[in-house]
Amino acid sequence: MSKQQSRKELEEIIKRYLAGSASPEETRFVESYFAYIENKTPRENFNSEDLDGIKFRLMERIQNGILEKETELLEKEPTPVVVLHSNRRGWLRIAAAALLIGISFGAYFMIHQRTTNSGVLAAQLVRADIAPGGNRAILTLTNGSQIVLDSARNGVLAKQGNVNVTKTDSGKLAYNTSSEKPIETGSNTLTTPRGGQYQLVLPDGTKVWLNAASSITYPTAFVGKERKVEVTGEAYFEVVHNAKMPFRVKANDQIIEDIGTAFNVNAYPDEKSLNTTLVEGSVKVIVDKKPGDNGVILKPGQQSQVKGAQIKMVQNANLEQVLAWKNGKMSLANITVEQIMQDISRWYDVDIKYAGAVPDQKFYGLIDRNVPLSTVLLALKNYGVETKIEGKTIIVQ
Amino acid sequence: LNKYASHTDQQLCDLLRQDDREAFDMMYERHWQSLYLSANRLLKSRTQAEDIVQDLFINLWQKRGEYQIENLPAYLRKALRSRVFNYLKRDQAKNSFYEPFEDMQQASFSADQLVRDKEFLKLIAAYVDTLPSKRREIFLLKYRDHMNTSEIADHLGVSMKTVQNQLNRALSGLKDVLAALLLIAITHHS
Repeated sequence: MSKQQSRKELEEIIKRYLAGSASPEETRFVESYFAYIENKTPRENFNSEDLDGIKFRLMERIQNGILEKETELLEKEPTPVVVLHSNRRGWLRIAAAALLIGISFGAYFMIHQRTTNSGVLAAQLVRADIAPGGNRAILTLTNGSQIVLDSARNGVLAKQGNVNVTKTDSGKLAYNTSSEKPIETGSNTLTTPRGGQYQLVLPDGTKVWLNAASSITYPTAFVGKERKVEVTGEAYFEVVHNAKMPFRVKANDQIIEDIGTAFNVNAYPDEKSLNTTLVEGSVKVIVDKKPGDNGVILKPGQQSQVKGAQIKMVQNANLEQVLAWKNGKMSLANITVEQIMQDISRWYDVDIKYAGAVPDQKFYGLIDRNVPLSTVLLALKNYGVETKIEGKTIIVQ
Repeated sequence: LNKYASHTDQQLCDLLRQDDREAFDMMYERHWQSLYLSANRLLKSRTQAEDIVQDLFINLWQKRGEYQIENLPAYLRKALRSRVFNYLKRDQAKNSFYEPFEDMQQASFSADQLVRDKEFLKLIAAYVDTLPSKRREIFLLKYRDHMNTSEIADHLGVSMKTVQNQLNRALSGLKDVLAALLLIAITHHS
């Protein structure tokens, strides 16, 4: 028998085994065949760290995959076909009915998805949907005048000293000068409202991503011994390193000193702590309230959590989660209902109310930030968190 | 810690059908590693092993209401093999998976090898068991009862050509000494 024929014969037996039509002898043979190949292959050495990493990464991929499939189904069919009642198991009856009239299993799942996520709630959601946030911000110049950036055209917006402020693209602002000796004319502030985000290139080339309900204040040109900026809310920095002129970020009572770096700072006043997460390079975090504090130096992957004068270090921060907002996502992984609702409030410009106690629920995965609010709320409903929209307020049931 | 840590697989399967995500998490916790290691050894690729385990669990969640799983480890193992097999079929680099079967069919192994590699010997025996009953009988008459082709044809009332054809398909080229070893294995396990 040729190799081709052999191969084909083995494949035929395996196919019968997988289809469940193999004889008991064939089943026994296929099972021993797989076991034989497996045992013959030398064992690869995994240490427990390897395995922990793979386990974590795989679980994240699985959670994201499930979420993706579920939102795909939602988007395909945004309006409910049948609304029977609003309890969570209602779909069972519909599914049973669907089976009786001969709808395939595939349709069963479509219906399951639609109806778990529909009911009276979805009908309301479709009527009262709220668009996601976008590239919106206000720029306050040295002289106090303000420019609304979402409606401003691309191009040079203002000239301050010998520095030009240019809107380079939707959602991007840049400072540049042709002069060797830029003149500082005071400071500018870029402010995002709830539902806004913006990108900024500072005069030294440092890039800043500003999340919703945040602000950054910076000089129009960096002169002198340091480059100092001040933020509120949340921002991500990719700093152009300059040893002669260190970059310092002030957030509340904390100063972050760059030693050549990319990092995220989350200083929202309603968060439990002020978190600085280092992605690349090295930064020093100094708590201003502590007299004579020499600060702590963060390594990539570490996060410092500052609460009052206390600093707590987290060794392996979940960078995907910390940077989700910057990458156009909303992370649901391992956070509480309260945290998700805070995110939603900032990004969809809505207020949150709780009808009763805050539900205790775990979530999974990442959602795109550019979906309408209803999609996010439907995803939450999938985890049993019921919500209602009234005007610009979400009521968590 | 998962609240289902001490539940049986069977209990987890029932909870899964009721959309219980924590039961699903527990299934992952309990079974991901053996599935991953098994796929990695069969395919010799970490990436493919990860892709397969990912796909398998997403599917497990998505189809949670479709059927009752009787034996979770067996179900997962079969689901894994099915995915591994799809990679094997597609990928020329995975030829080593087919080699033992080719060796077996072409009888390109030595008595020495069979003595050393008992698992391989058992594998051949298990294969002989899968042969259609007529082919298996002819095979046994030749190697166990040492009949020649015409004796077998007489014994079964078929043509010599039929006997020849059947023998050619069942481990053609098997030497007597190998056949003897093999028969020990066959009679031992059946």
